[in-house]
Amino acid sequence: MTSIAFYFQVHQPFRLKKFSFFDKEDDPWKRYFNHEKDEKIFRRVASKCYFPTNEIILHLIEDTDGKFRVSFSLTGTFLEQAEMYEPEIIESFRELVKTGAVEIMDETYYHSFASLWDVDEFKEQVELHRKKIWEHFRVRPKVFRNTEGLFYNELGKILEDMGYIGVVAEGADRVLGWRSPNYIYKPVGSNIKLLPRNYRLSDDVGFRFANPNWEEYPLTADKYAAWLKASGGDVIGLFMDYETFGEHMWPVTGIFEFLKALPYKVFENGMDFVTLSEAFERYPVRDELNYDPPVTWADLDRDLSAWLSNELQWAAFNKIKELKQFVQQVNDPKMTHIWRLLQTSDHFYYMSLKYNQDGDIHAYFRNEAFETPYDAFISYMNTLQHFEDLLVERIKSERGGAPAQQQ
Amino acid sequence: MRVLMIGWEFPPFFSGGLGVHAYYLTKHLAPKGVELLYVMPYKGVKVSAPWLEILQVPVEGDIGPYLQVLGDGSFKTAFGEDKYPADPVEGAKKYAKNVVRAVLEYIKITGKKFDLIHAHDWITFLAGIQLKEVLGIPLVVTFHSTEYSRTADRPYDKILEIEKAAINAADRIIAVSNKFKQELVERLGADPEKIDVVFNAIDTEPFERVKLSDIKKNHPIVLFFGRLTFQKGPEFFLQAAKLVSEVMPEVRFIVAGKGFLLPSLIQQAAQMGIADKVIFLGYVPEEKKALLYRYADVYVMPSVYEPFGITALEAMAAGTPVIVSKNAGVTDLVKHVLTVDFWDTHELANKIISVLRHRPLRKVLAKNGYMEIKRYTWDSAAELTLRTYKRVLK
Repeated sequence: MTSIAFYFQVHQPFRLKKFSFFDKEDDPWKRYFNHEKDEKIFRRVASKCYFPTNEIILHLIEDTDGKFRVSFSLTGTFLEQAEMYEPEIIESFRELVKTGAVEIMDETYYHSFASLWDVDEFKEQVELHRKKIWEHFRVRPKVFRNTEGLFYNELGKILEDMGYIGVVAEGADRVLGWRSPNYIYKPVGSNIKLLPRNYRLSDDVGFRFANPNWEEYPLTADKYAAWLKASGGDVIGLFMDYETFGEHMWPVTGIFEFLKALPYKVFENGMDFVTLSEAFERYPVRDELNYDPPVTWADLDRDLSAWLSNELQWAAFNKIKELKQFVQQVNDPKMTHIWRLLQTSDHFYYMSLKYNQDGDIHAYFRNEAFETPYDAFISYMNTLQHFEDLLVERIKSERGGAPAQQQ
Repeated sequence: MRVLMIGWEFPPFFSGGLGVHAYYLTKHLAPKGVELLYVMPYKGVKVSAPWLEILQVPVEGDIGPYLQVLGDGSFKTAFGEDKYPADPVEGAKKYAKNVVRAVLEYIKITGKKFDLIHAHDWITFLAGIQLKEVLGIPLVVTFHSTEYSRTADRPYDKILEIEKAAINAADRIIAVSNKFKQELVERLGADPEKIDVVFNAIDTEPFERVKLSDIKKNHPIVLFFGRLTFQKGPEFFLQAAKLVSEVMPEVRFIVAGKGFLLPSLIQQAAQMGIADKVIFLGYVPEEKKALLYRYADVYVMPSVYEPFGITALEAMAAGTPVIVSKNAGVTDLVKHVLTVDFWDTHELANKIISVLRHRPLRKVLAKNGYMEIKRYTWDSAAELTLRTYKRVLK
């Protein structure tokens, strides 16, 4: 029997304001972040996607006696904004978790690329996420997803040592080669289990569903379930942004009806649903995959190029890394939090200069924050520079205030 | 194909985008089989170029395309010379009369026949319209600017009338950008179906040759380069300069170009307390232009109206990062520039500081900007113009 493993990514970044040198605001929390815009976007997405989709999923679980099963990854920044703007949404996720048919996964609290440059920082951010998840849902996740699906062999070992039983990653062609994505694998260099994303079937829903120029348009639950069956294998990883439902794809596209009908069509075709840890427990490892160089789930390139492929992005990334020493010296939780919010991958995505086929998608997300990649870079770097100055000032004044140490 | 082109300027004598445009456009039209007679004023110097014939026509008085009607009802050239005791439209009418007479005489002597007339901007439109009637051949008009844009919304109604007449009389209209096409439709009532967009382009070669190695530089330099008229927004440049100085006192600002606002700008700079930071350069000879762009760390074009904005391309060709008004026509074409609302001087200052502070930003803008404009050649502009010619001859 083939199983279906749905996993939905739920994330909101703390967007930056247009930085102004002439702003008189002293509090960096208020000066740097565009809380107004975040709130507006959060409320919009909550009403268009989070609330209605949660309700549909809850109904499907109840109606199928828990046979419809899904996994979620909720970033810490998403949960923090939910606390600030729509606490009921957390309650709604809690209800889902209570059914026993919904699994919560782990990731970095800040939706960052910390794993790329500092394992200790990465672990701390994961620990913060675990705390937040425990606080709200009283669960300890067993499966990990890294920011933007970023995975590479070395990360497997780190995650295994951290106690995770499995990880999800992109089922990129260059990694799979002749293999089907619909099996459990392990990466080179560790024994953690890995389920690749079936990107074709995932993107049929996540990207192509509402595209009238697509030859398969319109996509019905019937047709899709038949594709899943034909795709076969042990377990099909369908991973997508949660906003696919109602936000990227508006209700008028029929996306909600599709979701409502799909589980029954899957059962009719002799398949079932599993959460990710169930997938890892039920199915054996079939082969080893080599995730070198690193792979992500973004763009056609499925690499880091959306975030780290031009000089602006490199400069920004280097700068945020450099600030670690100052943040540690100042050791103020509020400042550390700001530093980490600035690590969120979205900030780097907005600076992408890739004007190819993926350019429209980049612009779609960026326009929620900045008009152009250059505007994104300018605000980010000026914010970072200002933040650095604040940190350095604090360090100086603390030293100056303790003359005894100078002797 | 034989084209009668009526222009105003031709290098080495020119003061705006019109002259550059005429030079390169004709240069690239000629090899495509277009035989050109270029008609322009005679002001005491004979102008020539190997690829076309130039017919220079006497003008009475010193009229010009870039003038400004002041609040008190007097006329000034954009360059501040008080040479308009009389209505410039009267001057344009006389010029038109002279052009018609000269062209008819030329036709009589040579026996040549023209297929179409192509006129550039208001000062040539009257002649274009009259010749269309007399010769019975199609008329193409190119708008490089409008009276609204040149005067930053202080239009002289008689000039507006000429522009509207040209829009009605023309068989086809060429606009220098999509944004500007919009303006022709919305403000002058042009039929959008009648308009073709032909972008200005750039010959990068003169800008690449310049080397800065011998010149010492002690300050970051921010450059304004354009006519000192309301249209080009030099006051906004000064206001931004003042703000930038508060954050980066070491920066120097160059205001290059001449115009009737010069005295008041000098006064403003003094009042703002930045007289020691702003250098008013005045007229910049053609051969020094590339050097000036290169010398600057950032080029700023805060135009209130900018149908195209060819100087932005020149700065990019020189490898200098550019900040331009969002409404500038050139932004239809290029992505690798920073854009601002011209009135938002705080944001302009923020962006100037950002370019000066962040080396990677300068590098990426310069590199990508240069690659980007390389694609926009005069040859393709000429090709598009030729397409317009063919359409009216069908």
